[in-house]
Amino acid sequence: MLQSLFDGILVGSILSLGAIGLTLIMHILRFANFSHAELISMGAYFTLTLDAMFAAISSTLVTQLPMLSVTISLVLAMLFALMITGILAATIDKLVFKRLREKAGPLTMVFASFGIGLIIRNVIGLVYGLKSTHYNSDIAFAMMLSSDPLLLVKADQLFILGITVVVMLGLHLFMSRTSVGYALRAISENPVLAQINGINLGAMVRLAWLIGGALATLAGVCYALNNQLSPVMGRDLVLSLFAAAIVGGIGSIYGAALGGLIVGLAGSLALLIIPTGYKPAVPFLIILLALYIRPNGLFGEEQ
Amino acid sequence: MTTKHPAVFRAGLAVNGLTAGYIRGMPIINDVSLTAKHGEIVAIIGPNGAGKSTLLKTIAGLLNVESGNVTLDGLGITGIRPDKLSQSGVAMVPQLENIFRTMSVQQNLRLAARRCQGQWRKPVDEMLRRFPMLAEKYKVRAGSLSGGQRQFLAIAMALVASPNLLLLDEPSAGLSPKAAQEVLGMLKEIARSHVSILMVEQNVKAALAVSDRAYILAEGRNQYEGIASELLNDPVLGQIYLGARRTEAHATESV
Repeated sequence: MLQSLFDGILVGSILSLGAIGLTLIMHILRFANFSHAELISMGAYFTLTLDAMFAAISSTLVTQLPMLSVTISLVLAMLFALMITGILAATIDKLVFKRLREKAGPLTMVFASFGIGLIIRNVIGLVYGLKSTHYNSDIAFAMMLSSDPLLLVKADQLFILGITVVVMLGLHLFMSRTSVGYALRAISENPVLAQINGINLGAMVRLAWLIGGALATLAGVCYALNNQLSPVMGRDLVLSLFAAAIVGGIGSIYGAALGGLIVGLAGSLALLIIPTGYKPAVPFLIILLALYIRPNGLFGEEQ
Repeated sequence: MTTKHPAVFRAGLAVNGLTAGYIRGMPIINDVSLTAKHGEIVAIIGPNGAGKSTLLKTIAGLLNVESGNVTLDGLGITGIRPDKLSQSGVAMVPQLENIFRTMSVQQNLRLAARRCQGQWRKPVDEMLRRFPMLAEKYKVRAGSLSGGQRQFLAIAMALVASPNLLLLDEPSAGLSPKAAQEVLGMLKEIARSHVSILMVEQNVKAALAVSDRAYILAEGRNQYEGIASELLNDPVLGQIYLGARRTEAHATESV
């Protein structure tokens, strides 16, 4: 039970990172962006390439952080990948979604997002191959934090939890203390009112893509550290991300963070009573339950 | 950006032959012209679907203009983005969803004060002095305010950046008679600080009672213009506004 709780919180925190960008874009641009999950794969693979580049540049960068399988080059690679994926996400919006917003309806954008997602996934498969891989092939051993009830935790997992907590806290401070954070929340809540209060919609949309892309990269790296890199990792996460965004309430950043934890915990705890093969159905069930009990989600505003 | 001149030199709002709508080629308002001088309250009245709110949204830069132009103090503001326009002295209070419900009163005001380009505390404090009920609810989530309090917050958000032009869309809609009276009664005081007020209002009598001039809009076009107090007693107003003339015409056609 304790192990399941820990695993659920870990997976949930990764989902939260991915769901925040998804919920922001979904609410501001009013369309379900199915390609968002592929930003997770994109960011994770960018990190893989940059990690190899940095490691080739200097051998000192291959030094592992104390107790972790994470190297300095991987951390640097992740920081660069955050920016690159964010900029690419904003570029995809400019090249595809912005044009469709001006000329077509939300449904067209949803189908376009499927297309973009397929393209990204297949390009990753083409470039990196279809086999799964790891950032570090060393075997990471788990520490036994408790024997009864059993709780096995890897140092990398604590690192992931630490990163997500710090990022969430930073995002909270950004959203609640800065005028840019207010502006982003305002655009997310009511784009028309935000504009007549002097907020540049285009700039905020670009910022939302940048944040969404960066957080997706972080989610991708954390997911890959906990599991493995695979071209289909985004596809595997997409339903859980939507479930997290819907449970939390579309548009709510705090809702997405909590929604991610709920979905992660539900998936992990469900394994105590259902066979592993049924685990992928859990996000569906959560979406159905959320829509039935609270259609606007935990923090969502009635539309 | 509009330069602040002494009121006497400023021309206020001038709308000339404005045609606009939500879909290009399908205009809601056609060739609409009007003016609102500084310190003047101008009401736009007309039946539902006449294009009153569309006119306000177009002036605020939220809709694309197909033809015609809008000037404020002699400077063209047609086609300027709404966020730029709001920093140039144009403020709007939409009819619905006119506050950020998930934010506190303070956050709403601070957000609106972004248009002040720099200091936000001083103009926000000024609004709190002007609207004491908002000071009492400063930390309260705006979504939990009463209808009247929300409307005052929305007006305070519009006024916080000292606009030259205030666009009000149905300011008394959904309010209790007392709150509606308070909101409309405040307009005179706002106009005294040389703000042009253009107001769309369904409550015709109340709107005309506080306005200097009024325009009647029907089917997206200017139908009538006059001094508010004269229009208030004009039987033509009732005919057009209540649709009596059209009903009669339809009846005649049917016969």
